[in-house]
Amino acid sequence: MPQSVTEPVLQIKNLRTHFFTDQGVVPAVDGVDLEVYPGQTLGVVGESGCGKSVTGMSAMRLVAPPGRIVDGEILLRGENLLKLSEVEMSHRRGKDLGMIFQEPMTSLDPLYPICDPLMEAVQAHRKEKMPKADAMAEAVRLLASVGIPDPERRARSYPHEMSGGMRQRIMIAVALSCRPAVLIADEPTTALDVTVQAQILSLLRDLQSETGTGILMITHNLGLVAENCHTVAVMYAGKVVEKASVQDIFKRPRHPYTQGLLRAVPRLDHPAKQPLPTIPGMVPNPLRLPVGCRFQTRCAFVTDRCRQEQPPLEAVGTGHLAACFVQPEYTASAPAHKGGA
Amino acid sequence: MQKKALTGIGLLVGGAAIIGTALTGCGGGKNDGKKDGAARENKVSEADMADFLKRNITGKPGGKFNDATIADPKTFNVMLASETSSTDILGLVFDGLVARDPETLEFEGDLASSWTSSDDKKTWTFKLRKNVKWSDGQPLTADDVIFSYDLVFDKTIPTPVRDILTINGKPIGYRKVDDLTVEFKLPATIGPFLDVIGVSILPKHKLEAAWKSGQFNNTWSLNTKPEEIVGTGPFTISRYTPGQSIAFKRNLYHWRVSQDGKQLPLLDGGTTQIVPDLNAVILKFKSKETDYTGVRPQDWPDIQSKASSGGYTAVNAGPAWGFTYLGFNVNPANKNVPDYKRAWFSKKEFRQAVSFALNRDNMVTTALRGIGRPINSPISSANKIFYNQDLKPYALDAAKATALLASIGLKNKNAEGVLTDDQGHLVEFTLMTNTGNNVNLALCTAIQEDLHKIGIKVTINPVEFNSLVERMRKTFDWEANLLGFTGGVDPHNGRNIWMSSGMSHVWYPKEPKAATAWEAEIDKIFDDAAVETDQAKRKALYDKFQAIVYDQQPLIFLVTQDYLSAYSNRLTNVRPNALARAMKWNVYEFSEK
Amino acid sequence: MLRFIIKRLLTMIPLLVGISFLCFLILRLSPGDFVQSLYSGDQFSDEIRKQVTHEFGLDKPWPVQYLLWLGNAARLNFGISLSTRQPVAGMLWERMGNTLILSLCSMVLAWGMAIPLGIMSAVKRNSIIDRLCSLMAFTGISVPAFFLALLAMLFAQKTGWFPIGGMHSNDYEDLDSRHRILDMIHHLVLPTLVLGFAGCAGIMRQMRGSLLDTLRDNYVIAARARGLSETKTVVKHAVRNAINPLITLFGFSLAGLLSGAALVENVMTWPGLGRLILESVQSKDIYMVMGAFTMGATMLMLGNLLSDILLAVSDPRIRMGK
Repeated sequence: MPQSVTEPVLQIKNLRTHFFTDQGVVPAVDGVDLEVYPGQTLGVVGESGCGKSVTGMSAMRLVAPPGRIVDGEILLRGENLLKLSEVEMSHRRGKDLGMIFQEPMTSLDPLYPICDPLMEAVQAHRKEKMPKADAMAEAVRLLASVGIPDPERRARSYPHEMSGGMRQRIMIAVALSCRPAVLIADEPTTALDVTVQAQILSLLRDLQSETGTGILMITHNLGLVAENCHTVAVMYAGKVVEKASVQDIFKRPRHPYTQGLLRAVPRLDHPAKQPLPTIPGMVPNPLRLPVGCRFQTRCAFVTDRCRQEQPPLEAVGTGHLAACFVQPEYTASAPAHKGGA
Repeated sequence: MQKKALTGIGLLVGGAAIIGTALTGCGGGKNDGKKDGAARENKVSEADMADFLKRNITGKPGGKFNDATIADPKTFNVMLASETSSTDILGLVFDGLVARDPETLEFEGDLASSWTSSDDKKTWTFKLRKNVKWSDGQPLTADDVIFSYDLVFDKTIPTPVRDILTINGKPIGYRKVDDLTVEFKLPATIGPFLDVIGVSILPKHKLEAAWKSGQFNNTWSLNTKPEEIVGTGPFTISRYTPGQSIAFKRNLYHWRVSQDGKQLPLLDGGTTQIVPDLNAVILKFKSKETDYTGVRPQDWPDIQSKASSGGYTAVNAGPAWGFTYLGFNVNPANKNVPDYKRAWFSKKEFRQAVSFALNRDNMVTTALRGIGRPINSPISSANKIFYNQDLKPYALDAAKATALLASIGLKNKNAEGVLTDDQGHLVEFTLMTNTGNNVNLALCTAIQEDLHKIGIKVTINPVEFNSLVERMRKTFDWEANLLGFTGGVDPHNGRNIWMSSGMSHVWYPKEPKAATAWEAEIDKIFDDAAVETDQAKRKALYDKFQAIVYDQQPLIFLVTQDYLSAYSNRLTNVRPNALARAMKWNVYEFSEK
Repeated sequence: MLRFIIKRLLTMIPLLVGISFLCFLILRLSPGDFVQSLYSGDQFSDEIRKQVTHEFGLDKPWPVQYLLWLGNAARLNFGISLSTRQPVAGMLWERMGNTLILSLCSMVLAWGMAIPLGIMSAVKRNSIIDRLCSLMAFTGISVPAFFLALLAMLFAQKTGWFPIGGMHSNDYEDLDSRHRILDMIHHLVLPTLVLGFAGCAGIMRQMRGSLLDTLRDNYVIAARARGLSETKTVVKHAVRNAINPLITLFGFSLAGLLSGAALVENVMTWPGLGRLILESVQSKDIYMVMGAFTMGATMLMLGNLLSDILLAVSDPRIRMGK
């Protein structure tokens, strides 16, 4: 990873977001550190329930009750967002922080034409009222910039008249309309088909190079990560277990979980009729997390120490951090499982 | 946000209170009236008043009355009016030749000042009061009387008064003798003649044209301009607001005068509100929006206790003039009743047994809340002219009841204690009454319990009014019923109930001929009394009739309520009367204190 | 849109015919008839009953009666009331204004309270306000309106702040126009509160439930994400979407405008249509009932039509036909 002399534009430090349910407290995000650099994309990967989406929502302070941010700092250009009032935060959203979501089909209000969210975004962050005609012109320009054909006419159509891919483009246009410093993309292509996925991601890359926006890309798709991200953070059970440049993650993963994820990616040269390698076991119940390393029940390399102490996230190489006491070498084939299902 | 909402609610409640009290003062007051007696307008000269009826009334002129009625009138055409919502209103506007005073029960001349009859009682001559004028100033003459009777006998007009003036299909004869004299010639003598000759007299000069053009049935309906409705009564209608109220104003030409020469009515006018809900009626009375009201038994204790603090007087005016009964259906047209049951109902012993088993005093306590009395005759005990004083009250005697039932073969009891006959048929029947009447339902329950004690099983079946009428009149599909009749002074009014050919002959309407000897006897009594002109002989006949039904009990007489009422101390001369029922029967005497 | 409206208006006609026929059938088949109930007294002979039956055309075979009525109704002549011999249309018209005033006022109160309270309840879920509103709503839904009316009448009598039912004071006609309006308002307060409270409850719960759903929709979160203030997000996006089911409810409420809350009108002595119709059904005043039901059915269908139009105006998905 290029040793960047620039500061991260978004720095999440020791973020803890807990959910206070009737059954107990769920520590969805439990001490997470992330950095997003200007003009670069950080990929956050993990299975469902690992806390990656909650991390993204926390950064925007859009976590709904019964969830609450209980600890940590979210520094946007050095300013701690958690210390702002709700009104001040709403000024940051859209202007300095943008977000796009997983479900483009339902992310637009069906009762308003598609120019409306664009105009809203444009007018919300200005001191003086912008005349409607100007706002409309800006909306049209934004639509053009994300590749919507015939934007003048299309601007007045309604969301239900547009396809999923087009709606996601519109969401991107909305999110980037005020040129925010950071864009959080929560599984932006998961709900789209493959060809459209490629287009959307290519669009994001282009816009990033144009505007210098730092992107926090939340996904479970390692292929997407390989193509689009500069740095990667792997999350498991609410914690970051490995963080490195994209090359290091794929070539020299050090955490058994990361290794398992990589092995599980289907390959073209996988022998036919052999079952796909999986990580045995299941994600632990968040209400009853084990003492020690949270991956212990599924790890082939688990030791007694792993069962007693939580491994800290520490450097294993330049710009490469992993939270593991063992840090085994990566092998293409799965290791024999030791025990502790 | 929460604080704002609570403040909002507080403002809402406070606002309502403020609006309420502020507007209370605004309506111009409820019972304002001019009390200026001296400058009172009067369109009749003192000389003319000399011919008018004199009553001994004290009170000063001026003021208003306020009361309530339960439904809108259906018409202002008194010849067509058949139910009380219309007749109560029109009773203030029209008069007849004679009327019965509800307190003395004697006949008084209203528009007639005197009358004579021939020795054979078939010719009656009435002299009209002199100088009586209609409310529009036109004089009343014999022509108006003749005109009114022309209407009565016009077959195209569905008037309720025709039937009683038709004898064996022939109408009575009438002719004008002179401007102030009318003569009636009867095809046969009429016992209750003065009772039936009180038909309201209508103004010929207002209605003749409509009658001649065949439009009488559509004349003086509800949308008539009030000033068109011309009468001789104490008040005229000044305004009708549908659904809301009828306003009256004094008839400046009215013919009643008090002893000291004041023309009546003393009040300047009044308003009758239309209030369909009985709870609202009481509330209105308590808050002084109305001056007087009838009172239900359930409201009576409360009304009585608050009388002095409320500024009103509560009066129990004695027994009502109607009766409640338990009847059995012996009509062979009813196919749903098995023959053996009809046979029981037809036996006097069965009916007497049922009567002996009933605890009437208990019924008064439970159903009437103690405000009423047991009865033993269809004639009210307050009817001092016709009530048979020799009849004893019905006794409660369960032993006698059981003995009577045993005497007709009903003595075995089954496992549940219900009587059976020799074939094992249970002695049970369904008792039908109308829905919505709590008193009747309570009476049914009392009967059910009383009869249970002697082994008869009763099932209570409340039926909606229209269905009930159909079952009693058309399909005759019922076993026993509990209902009531209202009553007047002359027993002749009840002939349709007691005569075997009558439509209201409850247990077997419109018999082709009398089914039993005692019914034949009653038929003869009523036929004789209808033409008997000696009132003492009539009394004797009706006494005999009462003795027969007392014994045979085709309708088992139960109880009657007392007539309860309350009136504000603001008015004088209010005298609630159980026979008159409408509390403004003597409204021409009311005055403000 | 115009074609849609015209089409709907045209389909109303066969519907009205069908409804009126059904109504007629039910009236004829149910026990009792008008002549029997009004002229059942002993003072009326059989001839009179026959005569009245004939006069009102009740002796004709009933299909003929119905067709005669239909033919007249098509020319807007709804016959006469059997009990008062006055034109049905006129009698309905007289009372219509009274019912309309009360209905409109209570509708304004009900909706005016329900929408803001529903929104507040949803936005501040489980707060004190929400719980108070829920209590109010459950009371309004469970307690029958006529019982509330009785309580209101008792309240009026005990405090003396309000008249005991009715629409006008006795001396209404003698007042000048300013005092007339005040008098009317004075009489309107309690019935409006009763009907408004009863009506508000259901609407408020609907608004609350609908809004709770839309507040969780993705476009609401997306709106917040692009920096809209909370108020603007809720009002412009969440509420606007949550309103749709209430538009349908509104159409039905319009239908109820003229049918009148018969029981409340009865208890509070309000001289409206409800009482008139109730009495005419009880006395089997057949043409009156037919006229009233035709009017009610028309209002219902117009109300439905209006809500469909409003829905189309409000929601582009419906307007453009999904």
